[in-house]
This record gives sequence, C-alpha cells and structure tokens, in this order.
Amino acid sequence: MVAEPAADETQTGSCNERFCELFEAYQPALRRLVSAYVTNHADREDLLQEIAAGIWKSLPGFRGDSSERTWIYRIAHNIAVRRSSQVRARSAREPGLKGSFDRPSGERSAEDALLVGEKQRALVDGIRELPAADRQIVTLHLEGLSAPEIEEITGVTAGAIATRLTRIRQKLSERMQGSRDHEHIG
Amino acid sequence: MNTSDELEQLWKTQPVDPAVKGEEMREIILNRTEKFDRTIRRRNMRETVAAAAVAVFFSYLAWGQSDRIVLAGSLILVAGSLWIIYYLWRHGTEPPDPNPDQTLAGYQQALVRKYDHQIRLLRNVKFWYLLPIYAGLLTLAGAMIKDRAEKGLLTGSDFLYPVFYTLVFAGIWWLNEVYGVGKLRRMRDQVVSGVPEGKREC
Repeated sequence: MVAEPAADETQTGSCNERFCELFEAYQPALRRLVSAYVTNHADREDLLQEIAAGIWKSLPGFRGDSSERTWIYRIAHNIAVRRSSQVRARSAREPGLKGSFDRPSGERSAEDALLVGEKQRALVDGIRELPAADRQIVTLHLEGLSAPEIEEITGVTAGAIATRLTRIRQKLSERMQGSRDHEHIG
Repeated sequence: MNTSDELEQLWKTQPVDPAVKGEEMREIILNRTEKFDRTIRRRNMRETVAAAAVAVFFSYLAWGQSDRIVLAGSLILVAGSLWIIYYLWRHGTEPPDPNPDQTLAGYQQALVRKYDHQIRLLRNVKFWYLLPIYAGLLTLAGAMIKDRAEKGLLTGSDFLYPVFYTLVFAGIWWLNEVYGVGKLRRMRDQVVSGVPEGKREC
C-alpha cells in the first residue's frame, strides 16, 4: 500500500519516485491488460502511455482508500475502455502479437513453445472478442484479483462476477478448443 | 475445459512488448501532454489571427460604405468573426476526460456523457462558425450581383462566387456533421456496449 502523499508533494520529488516505482512494478500487468484491448503495436504503446499519464495525473489524489492495485487497475481499465473505443474498429483488422506468440522459449522445446504460443494467442484473441465488461472481469481475474477487488473496480457485484466468470471461462475454452481444431484441420 | 489455473498461467506468461523504465515513461508522458497542449494552443491562435484579420478587413470595408447591402454583409462578417474569437477562447479547449479513478460503470457513463456533449458541440458548429460567415459572404455576393445587374453586366459567371462559397461551406458542414459526429457516435456506441446491463442511461 502506498502511503498518503503530503499536500505539497503533487507532481514533484517523491511523487516522481512513487510514479516510477508504481509504473515499473505494474508494467508487466499493464502490458498484458493493454494487449486485451488493442492489437497493433503502436496502439498498445499509445494506450500504455495514456494509462501511465492517467496514473501520473491521479497520483496526487490517491489517498489510499482502496488498495494500490485496485486503484491502478481501475484507472488502467477506464482509460483502456476510452482508448479502445477510438481504435477498436481499426485494430480489429490488424494482426497484433502473432509473431511474438510464436517465439520459442529457451526453456521449452520448439514444438511445446509453439503449442503454448497458439493457446496464448487464442486466449488473448478470445478475451479481446468479449464484451468490454466481461473482458475487464476476466483480465482482472486472470491477474489474480479476488471477487471483492473486482467488484471494487468494476462496480459489478461479487455474485454476478462469479456467474459471469463461469460463462466466460466456458466461452474461452471453446474458443481455444476451436482454434486448436482449426489448426489441426489447416 | 481449461482450468482457471491453466488460463491464468497462459495469461501471465504471454509475451509482451519490452519494458521501459519509469523515468523514461515519465518523460514520454510529460512531453506528450506538453505537445498536445501546444497543438491546441497553436490551433486556437491560428484561427483567432485569421478571424481577427477577417474582422479588420471587413471593418475597413464597412467604414464609410454607402451601399447598404455591402454594409450589412461586412457587419455580419465582422460580428461573426468576433463571435468566433469569443467562442474559441471560451469553449476552444478539449473538455477534460472523466476522472479515471472511479468504478468502470461510473466511468463509462461519464464517458458517454462526454461524447454526447462533444456531439452537441460539433453539431452546433454550423450555427456559431459556419452560418455567420456564410451569411455575410452571401450578402456581399448578393450586393455584387445586384450592382452588376443594375449596370447590365450580369453574366452566369457572377453566380460562381456564391456557388463556390456554398460548396466550401457544405464541405465543412459535412466534415463536422456527418464525418465528425459519425465518428464520435461510433466511439460512444463502443463505450455503451461495455456498460453493464441495468446501468445504461441511454
């Protein structure tokens, strides 16, 4: 949890440090979140920068009423919703992270890496095709947030989240299975 | 079915773009904000200078003008230009985005309201920007046609000026009302589709 900032800290000194710490700590999660909204590399970088700017601007007002991670995810998802409404139609036609999903990892055999890459691509594509509210819920869940935390971020009740997650998981599994079958036929 | 753990594992190990340092990102966003503000300031300044030039020119034309139609056209253009300058400085900045530190449903609703506001502003362009200038230019063209007709010199080419203005203004109107508003509507629809059921205001 980040301590409450002093009134005169605003955008200087320790606020700079706090921003850098927060950004670096949450960068991998933010990059994953971005990939669930836009496919194109330039759009992903642009969205990440907008999220970082949102965190930067909101940081002086952060009073620790919520946990630091629910605060960051709330800002990130809100900005992603706005940004993706602007680029969604365009980025839907672009190939996205295909190349990077095919990259074999040093720890796995090339075949395993390709298989995992395929699954990851199908998962991210499947998430991207979900309605915005479902997309937010599932990405937060996959980042390891609890139902009450997701409720705090989205405003959707914990009970409704559980119901939706069951349906979303089913949908994603079908999507991933469908993608595998398609690959085999191809 | 894939288990939750498997999905989480796949999600968390997905390849992402290379990381950047926090300090580097801070510089990027500061430059980006500054660039955006500068772009808006320059745009407003350019339009203000152009509107001021139009106001000065037509004030000069109106000064000591005996032809009432030319005088009326010039005064409409002067008033229209001054109105544009006022409007630009009063409303020429982008309305701020909603505070992102709120629930997603609240933010999405605020975003929809913002898009509705922008759509209204864009649809008003024809009244505060196009109509005063168009009316002034058309009045001046009318004065010219009347003068030419009185002298018996009126030809078909004299009507080219009002036709030209009309086409240019129709093009600007189309860009705002059809292209601009249509784009904002699509963005609004994207946001509305993400607002959870039961929380939609529209």
